[in-house]
Amino acid sequence: MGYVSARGGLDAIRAAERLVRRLRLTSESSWLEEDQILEKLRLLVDRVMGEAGLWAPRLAAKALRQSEGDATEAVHLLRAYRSTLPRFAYSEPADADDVSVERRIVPAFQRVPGSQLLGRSVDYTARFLERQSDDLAREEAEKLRSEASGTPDDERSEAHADGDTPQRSPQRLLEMLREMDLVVDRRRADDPEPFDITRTPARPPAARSALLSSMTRADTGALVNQWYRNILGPDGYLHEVTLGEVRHGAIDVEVRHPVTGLPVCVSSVRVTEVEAIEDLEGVDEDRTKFDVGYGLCFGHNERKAIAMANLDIACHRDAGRTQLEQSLLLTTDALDSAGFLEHLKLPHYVTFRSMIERKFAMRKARNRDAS
Amino acid sequence: MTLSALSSRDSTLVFRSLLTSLSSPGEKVPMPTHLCETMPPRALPLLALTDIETTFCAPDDPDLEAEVAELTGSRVVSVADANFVLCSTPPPHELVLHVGRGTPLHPELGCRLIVCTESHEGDVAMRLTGPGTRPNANLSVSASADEFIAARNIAVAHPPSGIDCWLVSANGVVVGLPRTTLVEKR
Repeated sequence: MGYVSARGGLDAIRAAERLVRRLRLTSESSWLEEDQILEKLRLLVDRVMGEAGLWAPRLAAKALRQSEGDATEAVHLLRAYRSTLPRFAYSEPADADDVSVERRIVPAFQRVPGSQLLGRSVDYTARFLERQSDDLAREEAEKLRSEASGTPDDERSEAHADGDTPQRSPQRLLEMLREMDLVVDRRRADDPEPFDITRTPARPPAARSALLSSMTRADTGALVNQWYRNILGPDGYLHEVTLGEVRHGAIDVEVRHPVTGLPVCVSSVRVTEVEAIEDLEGVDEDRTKFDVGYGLCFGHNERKAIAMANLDIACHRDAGRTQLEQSLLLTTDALDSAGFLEHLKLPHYVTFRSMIERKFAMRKARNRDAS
Repeated sequence: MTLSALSSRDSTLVFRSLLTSLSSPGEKVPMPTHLCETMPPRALPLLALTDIETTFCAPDDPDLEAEVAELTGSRVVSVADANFVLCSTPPPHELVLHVGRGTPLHPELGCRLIVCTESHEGDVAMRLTGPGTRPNANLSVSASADEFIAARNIAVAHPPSGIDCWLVSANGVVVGLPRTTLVEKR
């Protein structure tokens, strides 16, 4: 028989690990500082924290450096580390209206309650690869630093569309639509405990909190793919999508003090929040109104929050008719999907050997029948 | 020695020691020396692994039990309901058979039993086989631990349900006996 099972060795595995570590640490370029990763690759750091489900910028930077820029591997490192940490307390519910916005746009309306605050964005910028020399770039950086030192809020006021002082907690478009009685009211009177996906895997049919938690921790690319498939692809769910709110800002995290029992702020996290307005048009829907989907994730990741908000409302309208919910819950987690895919690289000697033996057995049976 | 809460770094170091010991059953794995010098080593697994979502008990060490509960927020429950049980000496047959073993659908609910021993040297030689064990892996236990091992073998006889054990010596060396390890007298 041509196929011979091999036996992997612990020594070979340890040598492979040493090789990765040695080449990473001894590369010729200068040491990559955590601050550089935090500041120059901030969006990647945010994405890793979001997919890991852990707000820890420095740890995310360390994970990215250790994983040599492999975001999924960094998520793996961070989530594995997170799983070893004890839980000391549960945070108090945070009100999204308390987010102090650094950026807020409302694509649905030009003149909105509060104001449009473009903040830091390349949405309106032509994509030219900057090819100037490093020296020129450094020179420009120095010039910008000296210009900005006198007027620290320069960029914010420049990016403020209306020219007024930007509001950090502007009223939502949704509130205006509610006042106009244009939105289906799906707010519930009770206050159920949110589903904790870090303790129990969410399976359909799942509570909305389980779906939202799963999406907020999902792989950004997977979520965008699900959104695109849902809106244009074989699911055949063509519909009008308008974004009501796209916000990025910071919010305090509070826990109850173990002695005084009073809420105390222990941290501040940045989040991206999106409300997607859906035009209701189904036969069993109130066509005189809109409905709203919600997306929120750690850090600055508008692509993900937009996909999430759209998929939230799509899932609600789908009501289990297609496999959308199942697909979202079971296939969008980066660690889950990449882990399953990468396990294929591990030895499958026994299973493959049994497959070969079955082929030989079938061939033998076929030859016997033929003769 | 009084206990203190572990920093996240120290907690991770203890976790690594415990994980390594379960990955290589029978291997003697030291827990962080700087912690073993300042706290009783038997308390370290509880300080590192318990929190407000886990339960534990230390039936023969109520003082330590109270301290761990205060430091970690973990709830003290009965032996049968505890996620973690700490025994200051090799526990009797009845206790080992009384701890939770989980179910075939939820084997993760099986108890983690932490057993203190004077040392990892004893008169009774055991042979270990199963996933992660080295060829000719051995374990020497005292005569008192011999009875505990016999009870432990009954508790792991119906996989995937079962219990996972750590033997923690007075000097802070831990030996892991996951439920997948077959322990036989030589």
